[in-house]
Amino acid sequence: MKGPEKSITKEHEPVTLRTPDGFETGNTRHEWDLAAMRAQHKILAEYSYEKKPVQRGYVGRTLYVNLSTNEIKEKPVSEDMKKKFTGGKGFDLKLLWDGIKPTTRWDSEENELVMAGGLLCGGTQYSGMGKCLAATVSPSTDIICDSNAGGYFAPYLKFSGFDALEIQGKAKEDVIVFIDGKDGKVTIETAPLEEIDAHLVSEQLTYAYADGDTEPDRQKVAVVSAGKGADHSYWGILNISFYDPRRKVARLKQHGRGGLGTVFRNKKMKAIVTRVDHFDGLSNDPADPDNMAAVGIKYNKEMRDLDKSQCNMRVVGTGNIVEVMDAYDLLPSENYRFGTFPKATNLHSPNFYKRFTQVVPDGCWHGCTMACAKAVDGFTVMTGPYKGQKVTVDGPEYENSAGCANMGLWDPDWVVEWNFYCDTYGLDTISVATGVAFYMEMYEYGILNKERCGGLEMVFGNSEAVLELMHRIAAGDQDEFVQVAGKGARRVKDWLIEKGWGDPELINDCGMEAKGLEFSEYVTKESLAQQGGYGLTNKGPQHDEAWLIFMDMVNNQIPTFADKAEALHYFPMWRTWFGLVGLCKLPWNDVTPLSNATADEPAKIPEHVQNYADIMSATLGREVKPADLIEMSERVYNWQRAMNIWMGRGKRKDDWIPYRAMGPVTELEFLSRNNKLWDYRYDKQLVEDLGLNKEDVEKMQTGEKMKHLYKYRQDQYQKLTDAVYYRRGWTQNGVPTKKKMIELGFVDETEMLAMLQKTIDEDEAAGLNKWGGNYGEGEQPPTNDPDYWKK
Amino acid sequence: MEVCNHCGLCMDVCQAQAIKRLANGTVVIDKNLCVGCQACVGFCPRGVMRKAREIIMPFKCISCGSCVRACPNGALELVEVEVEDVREVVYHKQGED
Repeated sequence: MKGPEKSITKEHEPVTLRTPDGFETGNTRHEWDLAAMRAQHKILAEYSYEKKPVQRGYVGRTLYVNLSTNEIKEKPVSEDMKKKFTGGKGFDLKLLWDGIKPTTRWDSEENELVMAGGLLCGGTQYSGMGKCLAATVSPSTDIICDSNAGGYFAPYLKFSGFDALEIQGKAKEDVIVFIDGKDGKVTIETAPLEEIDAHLVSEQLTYAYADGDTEPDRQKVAVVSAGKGADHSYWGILNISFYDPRRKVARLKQHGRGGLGTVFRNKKMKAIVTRVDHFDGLSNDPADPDNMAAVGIKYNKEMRDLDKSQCNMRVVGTGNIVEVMDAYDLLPSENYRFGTFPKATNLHSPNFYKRFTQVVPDGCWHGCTMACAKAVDGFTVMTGPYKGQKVTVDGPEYENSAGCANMGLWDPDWVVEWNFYCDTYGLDTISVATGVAFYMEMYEYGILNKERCGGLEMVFGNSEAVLELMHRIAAGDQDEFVQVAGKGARRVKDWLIEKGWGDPELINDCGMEAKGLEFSEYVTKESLAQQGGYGLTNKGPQHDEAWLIFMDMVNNQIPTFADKAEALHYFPMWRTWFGLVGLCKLPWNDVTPLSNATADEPAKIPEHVQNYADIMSATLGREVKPADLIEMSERVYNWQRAMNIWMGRGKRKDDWIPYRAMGPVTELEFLSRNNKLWDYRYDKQLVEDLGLNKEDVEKMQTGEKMKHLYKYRQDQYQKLTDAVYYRRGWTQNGVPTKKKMIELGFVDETEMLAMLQKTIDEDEAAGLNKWGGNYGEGEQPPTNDPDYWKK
Repeated sequence: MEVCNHCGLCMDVCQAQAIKRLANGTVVIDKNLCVGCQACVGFCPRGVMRKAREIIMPFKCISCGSCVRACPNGALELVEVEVEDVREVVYHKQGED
């Protein structure tokens, strides 16, 4: 028993682990015979390639690997592909479009896992230039899910000579794909003896494939891995390593959403390894390195001077956001029922500040001075197969702490424990947290119970049960609950309804998933714009497209539907851009420059947007303006929406969200949020927005108030959807028109255009091309011309 | 006018671990390890880690004494100090300077 957490005092000395010889993490050391393990590898295929330098951000070719046939080949990148798809996620989608069918599912042999950086990826002068964008057909959604991750893989893939890596087919036994940028060779080799769990296999392969036995050699190796949990769950992630020469640890960043790790393990991949021989600040071949450096230096000075009074990203990473969300009623607590919780102060960032090791440049790629990848070193594992060992835990980040709040886990050491096992087992902290929080609420109602949960007491706050569930998933436990739980909230909803264990409407509205993917960790009940920001997305409810809660709820900057729709156009397009070029979006708006105080449209952070246009110009050698960045994104965004439609999940009905995301589902929620503390917010809304009589509302029963609110909010969401589809140039059923796609530049993509036209014709015949909102007196749909999209 | 005092703060922000303190105490950049990211240039509190035009790797004083010899007014001198008296380390106390 450790007793209650104590707050930080002025005398507190930060954790440094600094010794005269370097940083001593105190981690458990492993003795492996790496040479003996490597000797057991069988080379199934080997491909030598001519090394090519990067030219203005592009190599000009992608690498294709087929694990069923052991074919390895290069594919050229045409100017047309660059113009239409830019790179990164754009290249992923283009390669998937060419390689799969609309009926392809996550475990089909022809499913592909595609990974790409983008034209700015690998530069070092600006913060956040190391991101990888990966995509596949997701087990959770049956459409393409993309996610991004930091770490060293994407830059090293590019410096090895490839703009993207495309993996198709399935191997017969566990294999490693080794991309040797030093010797110009790609191999597929079996790897029977190496570990599967990420923290071990990343270390093993970093040491095994490094060119020599020095820290700089190890820093030139990057490993992609999943973990045992990804074998048995739809929540599988890809871990990307970045070797830390001070800690002497292969640290990890994650591609979290969508089950990329599940596909990885289904293909029997144990790891992808890349190795480079040398690179420097000019390896990405910018046309104007002096200007790249000038913009980067300006930003670094901003971080030096402003971070400590704004976010403390360099000190506690995104964990600083927990206390902010808690203060604004946005921290998901007990399955999103509440947005704040008295115990949440246990998860505020000072508690993690006490655990993170300070005085290390914790960027996940060179040059990032936001450096938010904090870690807890020498952490003694409390449960499971690694119990008693001391490890480095990467995190927790905001989503991990908030996910624990969602599950009612208020102890920071359990947050770290849970974070560790999610990473090494290859499980998505967001999906696990949102899924398990739902199971816990079902347990509270008796819809689930100890017997139905295979003996697990899935009550809010039961850290040990959560870890036990994860250990069982990783072990491939065949218990019925464990099997379905690992497939996520949507499958559990279907299972509960099929078993007849609870009210289907309650079940559907409590489980926070949409399109089959779990929501990320923000409470959206009072922000209509963010409901759209989650529901009207391509991949599913992930906040990477838009985070509008402050603009909407706090600052009231987007009051009308048209305002919200404009924000739901600009911000998803703006944020998509980062994924086309391989950048992290955190340096864009997690710290704001001084110029923002007098800027027009400060929510866009104009100085930083201009920085990005400047580094594009400096890399490409021609002038790029902010509007050009939006245009690049609009092409890829609409292409992704079109691919969703192609695969059967891209229309209005698929943009459904559960009512828990829109308003209070249960009376407990309603009463907890409609009291004196919250200024009777729902009573007020019934009078001010719904126009009900104040005296009538005062006499109304809770149930009746909730019914009024439900009807109103569902209609609000439909009206928002109408406004957004109109703004995006889609039909009322959410389909991009042929005209829109041609305007964006997809003139030659006749198969795609024909598919969209056919869909629209079918929708027309079925009467689906009509507004979803109920427009009463004094209300207008986005346009009075219902055939607007035909023009 | 600020001059480098070899405090070593730049060493703490170099992700590539390319900045080292030599046996004689001077802090220098290893050009084989530098990746040209400019983090040290941005973070140097005295502005003495600098970026020249056309060269991606930053440069700093290496205590060679050329400037002392060149100064026509004898305004500069090379002084020996104990490393412990100049060494600075970044502590990142949350919220404090």
